[in-house]
Amino acid sequence: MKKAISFGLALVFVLSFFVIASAEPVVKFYGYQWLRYENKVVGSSVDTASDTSQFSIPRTYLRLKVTDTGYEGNITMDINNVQYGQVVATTASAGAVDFAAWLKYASVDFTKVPGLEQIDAQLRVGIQKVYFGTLDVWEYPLIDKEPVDRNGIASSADFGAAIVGRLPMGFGSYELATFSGSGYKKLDTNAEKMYNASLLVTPLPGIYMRGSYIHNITSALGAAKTLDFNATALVLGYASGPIEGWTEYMTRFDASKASGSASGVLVGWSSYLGINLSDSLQLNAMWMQNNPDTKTVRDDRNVWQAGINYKLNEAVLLQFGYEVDQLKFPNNAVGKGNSTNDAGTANLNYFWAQTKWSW
Amino acid sequence: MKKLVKIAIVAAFAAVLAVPAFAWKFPWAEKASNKLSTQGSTTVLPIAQAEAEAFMKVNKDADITVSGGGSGVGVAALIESSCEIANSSRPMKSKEFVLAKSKGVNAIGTIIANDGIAIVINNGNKATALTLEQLKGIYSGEISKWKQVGGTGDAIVVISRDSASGTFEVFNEKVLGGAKLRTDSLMMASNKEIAETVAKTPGAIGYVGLGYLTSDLKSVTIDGVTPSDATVLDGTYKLARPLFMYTNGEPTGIAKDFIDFILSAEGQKIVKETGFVTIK
Repeated sequence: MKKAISFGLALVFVLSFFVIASAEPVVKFYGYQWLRYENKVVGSSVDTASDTSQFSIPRTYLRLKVTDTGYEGNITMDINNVQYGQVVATTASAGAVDFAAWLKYASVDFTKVPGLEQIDAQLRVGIQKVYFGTLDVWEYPLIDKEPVDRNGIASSADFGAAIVGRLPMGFGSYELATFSGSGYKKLDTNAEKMYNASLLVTPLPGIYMRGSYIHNITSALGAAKTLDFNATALVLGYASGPIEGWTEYMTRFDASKASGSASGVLVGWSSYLGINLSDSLQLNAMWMQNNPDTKTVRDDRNVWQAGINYKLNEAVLLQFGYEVDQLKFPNNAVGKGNSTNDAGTANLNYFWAQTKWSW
Repeated sequence: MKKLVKIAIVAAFAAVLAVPAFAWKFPWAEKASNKLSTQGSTTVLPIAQAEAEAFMKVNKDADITVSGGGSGVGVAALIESSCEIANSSRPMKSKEFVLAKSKGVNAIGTIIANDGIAIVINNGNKATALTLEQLKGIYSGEISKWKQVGGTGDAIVVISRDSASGTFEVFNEKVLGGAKLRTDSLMMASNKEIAETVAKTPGAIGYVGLGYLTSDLKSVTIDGVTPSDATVLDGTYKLARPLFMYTNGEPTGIAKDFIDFILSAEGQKIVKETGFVTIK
């Protein structure tokens, strides 16, 4: 299997030479930035709560899109200003500065690969989105991350190659990918690759279903293959007129976390609802429930989010949001036994305000 | 309790799903029934503008805005519900249909006119005819001098539309057929720019919708056929294509009235006056 993938990737690069060699590309530059204020209150009561706040620029995307017959290239540079952003020295005293920059996406779509073009599919190589649940389609109507990303089920982007195709008659789309499995910030740490498959079906306008699967094997060179993790997501979505919503189920089995006292299985449910009150005003709400380990008692968390978006114009969006992140069973005598989770620091309250602007 | 919460949430979501999948808006967010926004293809733009003016003369309350940007931009705007009609000089792509459906947009296209892609050269050029093979050779770079195809002057200056254009996509499919566009082609953002550049550049060749043909340009025959209403309608002119207006679902309200007007005898007369080809 590994040899077949290696051969396939080598073929892609040979093909890419012929595709790009004689092309005259159209180049477009665009991007967007988030300017954020957040206030975080930690604690179960007003008396004992700690309160922090910060201004930050958690995202500046600089995008370059290059298009021509046979291919389309994308480069997205992310420059951001966040706490504990980037380690600038390896000495113990140096620590980190609150600044980071990295390539978030860098990929080429080969749109006229023989055999794929005929079935309305294309080949994508490079750093690209991981095709999983709502992870790669979340457009941040609420300020925080979507559930898959938040639960750490999969990295939002990774190095790899994917076949991205559409089903006939606009019935849906699919992605088949192989990734490094190390995420977009790290180079390969494995000899083995991660496999990712996803299928979206749109049986009726406004209703869609998506199923996604990831299988990640880990092994050092020459060592035995072992399962790192596998994960599944199922999404049921709805959109009609001013209403858009989805509900998602996700699970991940992490072999390294399984032990006598832990199953290594994370299970999460989430639902999102967005309502456009007018062309410029949108209300959003999301609920997430996360059971980090199905064998550990009383560690489930509930997250409730609500937000208001106001579109000032096509380029500027103002967002306001509130979030409560709390244990499902705080200080509850029933099933008591997890002392850490019974402590008073069970609730997190976030207030967010953010300006998104684009060019 | 945990189960009850889950059941309640699933039930609530199912209730939302049970609402029939048709587009609607809150009463206070409803756009005034006399307002209509159309966006997209620069080829369709002159038709849409002329039709909107004529429609608003008859319907004094109607307020129609028409803007360009290219077929892809118009379709994206329809999917994002930021316009009611997407003008397109090509059929929607499967990728766009999937995205539209997942956003609750049931894109339905109406052919409102036909068009031929006219191959235009500078008036000072003596060339009058090209074959489809020669045209492919010129745009792929195999033919680089006018004397190779009976024209005047030396080097051929190749002018093309950019990749956001529906005209480019149709030209790419019908002429290039998978061959690469030559590297020194000048890429233009609109039919108008191409027409103006060819008119003032000796040795230039470009392609525009029939509606952009003027006395400042010379149109050449392709495989012996002149682009015209008759040759587009009877299918003998090979660089012909239908022009679309896409709506979310069957057109209703002012969008229906507007499209019905374009399809009427009066509207089709305007199609002809703007230099395009009627649907019949």
